[in-house]
Amino acid sequence: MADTKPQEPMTEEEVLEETNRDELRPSDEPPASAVTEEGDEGEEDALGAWVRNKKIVSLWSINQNRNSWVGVGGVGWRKLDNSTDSGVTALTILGANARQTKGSVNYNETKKKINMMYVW
Amino acid sequence: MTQEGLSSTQLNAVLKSEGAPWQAGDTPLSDLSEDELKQRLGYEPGPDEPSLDERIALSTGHLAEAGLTAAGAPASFDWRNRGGKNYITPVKNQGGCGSCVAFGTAAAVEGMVRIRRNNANDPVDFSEAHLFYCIAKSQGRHCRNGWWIAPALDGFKKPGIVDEACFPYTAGNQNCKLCKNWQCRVTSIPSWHVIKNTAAMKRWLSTRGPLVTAFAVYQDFSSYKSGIYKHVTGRYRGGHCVCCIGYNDTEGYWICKNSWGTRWGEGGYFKIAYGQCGIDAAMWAVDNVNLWHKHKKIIGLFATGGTRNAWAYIQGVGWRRVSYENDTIFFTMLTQLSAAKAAKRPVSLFDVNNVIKEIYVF
Repeated sequence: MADTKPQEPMTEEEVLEETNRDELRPSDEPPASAVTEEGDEGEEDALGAWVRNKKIVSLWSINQNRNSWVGVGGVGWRKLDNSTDSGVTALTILGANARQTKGSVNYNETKKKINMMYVW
Repeated sequence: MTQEGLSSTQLNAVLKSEGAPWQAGDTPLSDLSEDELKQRLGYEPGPDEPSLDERIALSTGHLAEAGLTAAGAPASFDWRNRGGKNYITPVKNQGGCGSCVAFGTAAAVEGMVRIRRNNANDPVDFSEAHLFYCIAKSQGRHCRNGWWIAPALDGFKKPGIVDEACFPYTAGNQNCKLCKNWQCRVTSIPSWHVIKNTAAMKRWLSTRGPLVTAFAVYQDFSSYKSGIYKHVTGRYRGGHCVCCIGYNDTEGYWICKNSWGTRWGEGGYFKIAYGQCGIDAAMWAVDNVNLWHKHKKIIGLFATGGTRNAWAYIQGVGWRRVSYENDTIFFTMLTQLSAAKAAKRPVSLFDVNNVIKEIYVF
């Protein structure tokens, strides 16, 4: 059974190819020194596209395994990468933090699925 | 008169005949007797380590093999001027006790702390008394028989070393008198290793931090005022441990921090030629420092979809990875870090090799 989606669903995209991303580490500096232009949405390439300076305005989950979404202000719903249990849960914690604090978010997405996220 | 019948004027005359590589003068140590000078040293090679004669031979061999330059390292480097900042803590004075190993190792770890914290003004100051009068003493070492470097670095690994105020150093054999809460005041290192290749020494110095080293001291060294030291005259007096903080390939010397006070040498420092007196036979590297980052704010979080890969940006420190040993540890810590960030509450974090291992949220 396909995963259920939140309202106003996006088209379900094929799952990202499994890559070893455990070694990925953050490189951004805090917003005061980072380039975070409003609504900056980069071109997507093989490594995905960075979308910067957004707000998380809603959260969604359902009693299905690894199915967690965030609503991005001005963008819409985005699914959190569900390649691993710990990955999707960590991204969910960050999404919740951003929602709670109204913090600024930079994220990387591939095929409308968020695979990396900064919360400031 | 300074030593062995030679005044500093006469010593300088000898130096002139050798091309004047360095300048001699009256120093707080130049009038000391042989026994008194030995008390300002204190490096004794460990059971499995090269003797000082062997160190001298190894250094001479390194110079012949490697020459002056090192691939992958800049031509010169000095931790006292890295981007205009001095990461080396003030010069100390071991006085009349053969405790140089405690001073040389503490100096290297203090430098690593400042570098890791990216704060050249960090007030870190370790207790050489803890190292020498507690740890070395428990191994039968004292002011007259000295110590070697490996057990001192092991002491930094476990139990760790307290700050100077917890057990201030004074010269002379004494009982271990740590402050009451000493176990809460230790700083530890995760590991250390020996570097036996001069190119690797330079790469380590120019990218990671200071090194601990040892060399043979001759009587003329006590009168060193400035320049690039080479042994020219005077008898062998013993082994000595210092902290190496830089080098210069153009003129072929190491820069070292001594523990004889600021009135000796170049403000307490000296330059010594490559291959001299066993200085570069092998050096000891502190791999990292286990640090408490106290009373900091979490100002950013980062995560990926990969397995247990989340990071926290600590105010004034930078990115540190959340411990990833198992799911429970990972989510417990990430939840607490997230809560701290959301509530803008201060945290204290214990950092081992840039991984957060313990958290307080206040």
